[in-house]
Amino acid sequence: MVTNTSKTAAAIGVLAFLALSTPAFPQQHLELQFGVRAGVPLTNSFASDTPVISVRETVNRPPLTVGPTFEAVLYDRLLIQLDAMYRSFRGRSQSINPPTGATFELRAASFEFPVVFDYFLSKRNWRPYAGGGVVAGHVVTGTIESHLTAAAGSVETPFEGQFFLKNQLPAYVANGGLEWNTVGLAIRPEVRYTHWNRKRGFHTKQNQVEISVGFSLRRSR
Amino acid sequence: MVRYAVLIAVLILACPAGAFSQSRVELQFGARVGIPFNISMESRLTGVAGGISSQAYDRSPFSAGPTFTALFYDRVAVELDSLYKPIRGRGGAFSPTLPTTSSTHGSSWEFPLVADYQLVKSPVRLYLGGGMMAGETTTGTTEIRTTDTRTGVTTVRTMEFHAFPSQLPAYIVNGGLEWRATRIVIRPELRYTRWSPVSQGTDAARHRSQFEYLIGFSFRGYKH
Repeated sequence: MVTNTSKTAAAIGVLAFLALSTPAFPQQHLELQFGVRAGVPLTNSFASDTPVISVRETVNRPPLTVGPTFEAVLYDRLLIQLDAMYRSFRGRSQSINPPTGATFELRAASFEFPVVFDYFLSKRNWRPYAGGGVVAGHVVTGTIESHLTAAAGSVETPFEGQFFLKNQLPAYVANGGLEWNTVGLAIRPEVRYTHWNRKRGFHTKQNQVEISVGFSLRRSR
Repeated sequence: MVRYAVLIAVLILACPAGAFSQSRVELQFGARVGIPFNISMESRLTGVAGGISSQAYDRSPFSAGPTFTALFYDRVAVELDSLYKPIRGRGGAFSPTLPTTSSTHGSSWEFPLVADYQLVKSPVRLYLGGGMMAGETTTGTTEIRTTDTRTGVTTVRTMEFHAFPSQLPAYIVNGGLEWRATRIVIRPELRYTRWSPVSQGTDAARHRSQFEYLIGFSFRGYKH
């Protein structure tokens, strides 16, 4: 009996066979790097545009962004960056009509996956670069928890649930910065602007600016 | 599961050996640590139970565990990991007379088996691959507090925590870079795992699509 599992296993094997049958392509003009990037958002990252009629929704500004990075440098001129940038989401939905209603606390982790193509303007150790790209993915998952004021002598059961932020792709990125190359490390401070698609309710702010520094391990070619 | 692993291994080993020049097999062992990008567990309660109760799980802050790699012909790596993730969850069940809250502390172990092909033989290498989850298990405890609103008495029960039912098979796609030194190999990678759907309502199911950043540190051992 041919199951989905055996089909998948066979497909993996065949793909591996085909891949192994071809020689590796030449790499003399490619340098691969990996590291970490950390930054500070200069604008709010999240917000809510729900009208303040029965609830008030607020979101804290995340203090920093941080995440792993993967880079490819082609011909010492073109830089391709794939990041996985984390920022925290701390929100609150508070009942104002009636004022004794539940308050919901939202705690989530946001991970953005920008893919950015940059061009180096020179080939010196200190060199500026600029470019742009897209956010290839965005994952926001967490929890929502109610806080209730129990009446005297009663017990209130909190509501606990998962929280997912709506997808706001496509999002576009423009960036520019400086690269400082040492023997084993590339340091890249940069300014990055991201423009997100628009959504209602709790959402990622449409226009965002952040400054960040990347540290990537590199080896000589 | 063993059959599929053997099938993959046979096809890999059947590849033309002319493309390879390094040692045939190199064994590596070490550790992997990672950051899950989304929640690992979620409630999939349906029907009446889903209407009167609620359950939420936190995103696991990290994953970690030992890893074992067999590198064939300096080109294909077959890797078996054993990844631990802490599980934390909270829940509640609505009842006018017996409201209930629960708190879960548990752990998840996953045993992914992946085969990676190294596409680029530069000082830092690029690899892509995929595989399957060879096994998984969850353990832990759930503390349930029930208050009788008529008497004011609160009772506390502790139950074993298990994700149920099984969501195998689960498939994996991964890609990353490899930094190889004389004695150590560093492998940062992105990994996507797709779990099968649950066949019935449950308050502890694995989130079907999971993304994760992992970095592995392995010692280079036996070479043949």
